Amino acid sequence: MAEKGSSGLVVFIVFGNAIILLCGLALFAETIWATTDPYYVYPVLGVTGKDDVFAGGWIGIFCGFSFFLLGTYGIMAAVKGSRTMLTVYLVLMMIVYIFESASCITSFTHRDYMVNSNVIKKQMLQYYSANDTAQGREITFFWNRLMLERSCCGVDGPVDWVSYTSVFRQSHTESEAPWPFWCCARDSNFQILNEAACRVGLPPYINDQGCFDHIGHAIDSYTWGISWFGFAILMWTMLVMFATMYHYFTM
Amino acid sequence: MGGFQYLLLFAWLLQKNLAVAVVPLLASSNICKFNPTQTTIALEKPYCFYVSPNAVTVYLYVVMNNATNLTLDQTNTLTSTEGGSKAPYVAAMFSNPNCMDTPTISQIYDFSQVQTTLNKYVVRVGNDENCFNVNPCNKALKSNVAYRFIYVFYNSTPAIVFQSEWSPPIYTKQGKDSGSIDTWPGRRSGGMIVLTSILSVLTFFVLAGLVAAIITSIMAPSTNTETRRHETRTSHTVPQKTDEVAEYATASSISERYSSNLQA
Repeated sequence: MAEKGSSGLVVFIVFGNAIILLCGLALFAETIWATTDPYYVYPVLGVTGKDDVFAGGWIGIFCGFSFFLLGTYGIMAAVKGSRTMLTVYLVLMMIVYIFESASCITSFTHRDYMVNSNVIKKQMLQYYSANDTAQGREITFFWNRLMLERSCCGVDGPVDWVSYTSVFRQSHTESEAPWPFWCCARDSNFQILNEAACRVGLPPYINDQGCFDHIGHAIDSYTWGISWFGFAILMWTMLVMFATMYHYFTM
Repeated sequence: MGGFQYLLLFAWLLQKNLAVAVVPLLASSNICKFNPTQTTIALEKPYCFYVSPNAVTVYLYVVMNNATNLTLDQTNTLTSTEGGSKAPYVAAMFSNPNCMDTPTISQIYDFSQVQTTLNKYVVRVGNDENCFNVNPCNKALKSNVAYRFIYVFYNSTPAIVFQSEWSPPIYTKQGKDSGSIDTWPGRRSGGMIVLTSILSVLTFFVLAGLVAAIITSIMAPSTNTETRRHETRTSHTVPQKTDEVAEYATASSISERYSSNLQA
């Protein structure tokens, strides 16, 4: 029958599925890394309601593990040369393929929304120190921690706090605190170096760098992992699926 | 003769300009990087504006740019002049800074001296939030309003011994409404366009291929040897499984039978 002529194709399908299997495991691990959020930026995305970078991550976990299982199953199907098994393989792989595409596109689209717009600045001004709501507390805690840990201030620097009206401004006058005290440079015991110098905006005593670099870097890292790695796997999966279909036609 | 007069005039102008062309200035942007803000304006203290061995007190008067009455009165307060909209009010008073003792950069960056150096160098208008009709009252300024400043030097009598010129109008910052920040992401990134378009097209192709494969697998076997396979279906299933290796060559016929099962 046809399997004599297409044995090279079977070898390719087995090899291709072995790659898919390994990449599936890697994607699984990588998306778990992204969803655990080691850079701690989830509150920023969560409060806007546009946290679908992480939704993409969760779909990626499912797809990674599915790729692992289907890769294994595909090798079995190809070796066995069973038409039924190959049908099931193709149908299931198609489903996972569509889900993984969705994961890539969702993640990237929402990364654009967060990084290419002023939504983070607007959210900071409207929620920081609004301690009467759960979102306000979460955002306040997030920014306090971020500004302390990364020695930065606001999204684009202290100028954010004096250029816009904000919830923070309603509770603190500029005479007292033109920007949150977490913008002030601190010593190793987290004591403010000099409050008066911080208040007038004297650079060594105030963190005059914005925090956007950190947030943007974190979101980008997650998105590159979820979207571009997923995209690469899908490119390869497409080749293997076409090969399998050809094999299926000719067997 | 005429030349001598011109020389005298020139010398007088020179002296006059040097002595009087002193105005309150914004503090150096190296020191006050974000100045002015919405309600504060940081000014440099008047170093070497007026040098005198006697004790001299400097009054800083603040007035809104649109005020017509510029009469300097020591008793004017922020409340009595309605925030400087009617007449200049006294915002701060301090002793005349010592011309011999100007602050240096190294003092600013020295952690132990920064506090005193800032007090010596900067006067921050709008610095005091809690002044209840005391003089001087240095309460927060209004945002997006032009203010003018003047340093006036009083001796112990007190009488005016010297005054600087009025500063040009300095605007406080207007706080833009944070609700008006546009959150539209604008242009999509190239990566997003590439990823979405390629994945959409490929998904379509893969799906089309799958549909084609399934349709052919349904159509193809139904034409030829369907009847024979239906007969052998039940009786030969078990023995065929035992000698799997031998049957590998005819594996396609087994799977064809399964697929026709699906159809039946």
